[in-house]
Amino acid sequence: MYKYDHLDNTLVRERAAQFRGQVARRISGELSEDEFKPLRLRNGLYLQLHSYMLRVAIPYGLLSSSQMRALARIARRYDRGYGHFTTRQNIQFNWVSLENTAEILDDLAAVEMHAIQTSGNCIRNTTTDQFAGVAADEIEDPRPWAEIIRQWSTLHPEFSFLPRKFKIAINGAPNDRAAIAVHDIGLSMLRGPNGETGFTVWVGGGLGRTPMLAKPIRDFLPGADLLSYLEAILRVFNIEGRRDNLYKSRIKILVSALGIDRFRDLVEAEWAHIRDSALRLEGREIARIRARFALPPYDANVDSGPFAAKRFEDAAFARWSAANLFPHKQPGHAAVTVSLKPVGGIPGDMTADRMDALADLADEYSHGEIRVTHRQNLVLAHVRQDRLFDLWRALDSLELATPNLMRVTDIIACPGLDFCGLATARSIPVAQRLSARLAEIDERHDLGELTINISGCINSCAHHHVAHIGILGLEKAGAESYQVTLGGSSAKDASIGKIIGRGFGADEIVAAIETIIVTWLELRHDGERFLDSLRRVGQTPFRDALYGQDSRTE
Amino acid sequence: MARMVITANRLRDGAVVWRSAAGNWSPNITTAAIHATGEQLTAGLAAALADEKSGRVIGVHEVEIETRGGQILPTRLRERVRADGPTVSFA
Repeated sequence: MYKYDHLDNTLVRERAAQFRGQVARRISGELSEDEFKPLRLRNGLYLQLHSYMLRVAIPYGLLSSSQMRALARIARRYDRGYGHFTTRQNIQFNWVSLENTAEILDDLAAVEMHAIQTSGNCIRNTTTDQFAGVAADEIEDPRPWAEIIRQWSTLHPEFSFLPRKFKIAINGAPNDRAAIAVHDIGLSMLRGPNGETGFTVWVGGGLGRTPMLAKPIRDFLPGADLLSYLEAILRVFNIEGRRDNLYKSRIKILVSALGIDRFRDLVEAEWAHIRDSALRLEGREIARIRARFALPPYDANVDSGPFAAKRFEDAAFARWSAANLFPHKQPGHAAVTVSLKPVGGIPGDMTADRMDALADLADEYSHGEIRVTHRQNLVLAHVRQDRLFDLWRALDSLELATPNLMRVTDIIACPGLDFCGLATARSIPVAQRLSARLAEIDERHDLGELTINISGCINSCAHHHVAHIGILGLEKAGAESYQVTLGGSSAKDASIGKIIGRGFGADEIVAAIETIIVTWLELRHDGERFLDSLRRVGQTPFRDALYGQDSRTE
Repeated sequence: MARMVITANRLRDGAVVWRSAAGNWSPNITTAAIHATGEQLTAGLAAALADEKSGRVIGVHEVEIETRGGQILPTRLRERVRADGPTVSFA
């Protein structure tokens, strides 16, 4: 994986020292909160309901085992013994104090980590496919390109005060596992006519109160031109994007207002000026970064026999294997998803003890590497098939082997009103109750792929618009009210879910979701996914089941 | 006027605090001064904002409450969660 060079190391250490001085000036009263707030946000430090929260960057979700152990130490020493993995493949510590933050940044810098640009109106952590580099269906490993974007966007002076935050995702396979359609910029890798690396560029996707799917702005962008083209898009956004209204300042609003063709014209005109500038990526530089993502040495002669035999002998192992393993490009290996969604648990939370234990397992089974997924799970990407059974038993003893990837209990939930200053309703308790109830139904009926995402406010941190079943928590007349959307997807068949009808109270929402699923089971074709049934029959049967047929005339 | 208490977060650690009649900031809502008139609230907020300016606390705001059995209960869920902590046990 990528190793910091002298420049990277200097940058993160200087940044920690700089923030130490800023905190001291804030506490002494030299800086007001208005002056200090943009500085702390640039270092990932939010004030939430009960405490400060520090969001630590995990570039494209990639961690070494020693970095995971450092996160565990931080969780124990400065927090309450746990951390929370997020949909941006980052980690948040919910209970840190202002006074300790500079020390935490020092500890992070010591393991080549930081919290730079995890908040604020700048370019955020570039996310990617959690199976990057190992996926059997991959065109090319997107991580070197994500790293190139990281280096270009870190402390980019021109883009430090954008109209609004800016999120880029990059996917290296035909199957989209990075939700590129709902990003400010989505990059989808492909090969050009001569086998060269390129990207299809999408722009103007996003969620929040105005959900939109990204539109194609360029069918083929040569890899060498990646940074100049990104810079052209950002420059047009920086100049033309609205700054008068927080809710209309994302690039999706600009693209929608201008129309994609006019927006493209502006970008191409800008690009013509800078295409042949120093931003052009030389083959040698691309090769230098690529070399840092060399795959570990695999054993070419792994015997898959024991894996097959154990699946036959042990039903629980077979079930986990079917749900949580992903095909690997190296024969005899698998990418393993470590579920952070125990039935009835808090999505994405992990104790320091489990972080340490998983770091040990990463060393033993997966070349010391861990990935964070945008679904709030973890991945061990390089596991020999003949060792899967031993790994599964170890994960199971840590309660990290719930066999539920992309299933109904693999719920994405934001922190919601239990922690977040922006939230209008709680997310976590709803996720916990749903998980406990739906686990039973899944056990009986094998629901297959069915995603449920729960956001505690319209900012949509849990991406509820692109879940098969989305839940949005609002405050209505002083009480929590949960609005349900059906039919969203963030995959290759991306779509925005549609609201089914009036919202449900906190004591009604679990039963409402159960009604939707029971209704589906009655009309499901054999083996059909919920999303496919819904696309086949439409919303009416579900609306009738929830509100009665009389509601059709309302 | 609905009865109000005044709250903020402590600057150094972000902890939720409530302002007492004596002008202290405590993590315990039971110590909060209850303001029953507009004049009381205005005076309380002025003093609280002075504490914000001096850097003791941030995010000063008033919270509507009711009292039940001698307990102070914020009427909005958001403020009840601030007063009592998360409604879930974590990790």
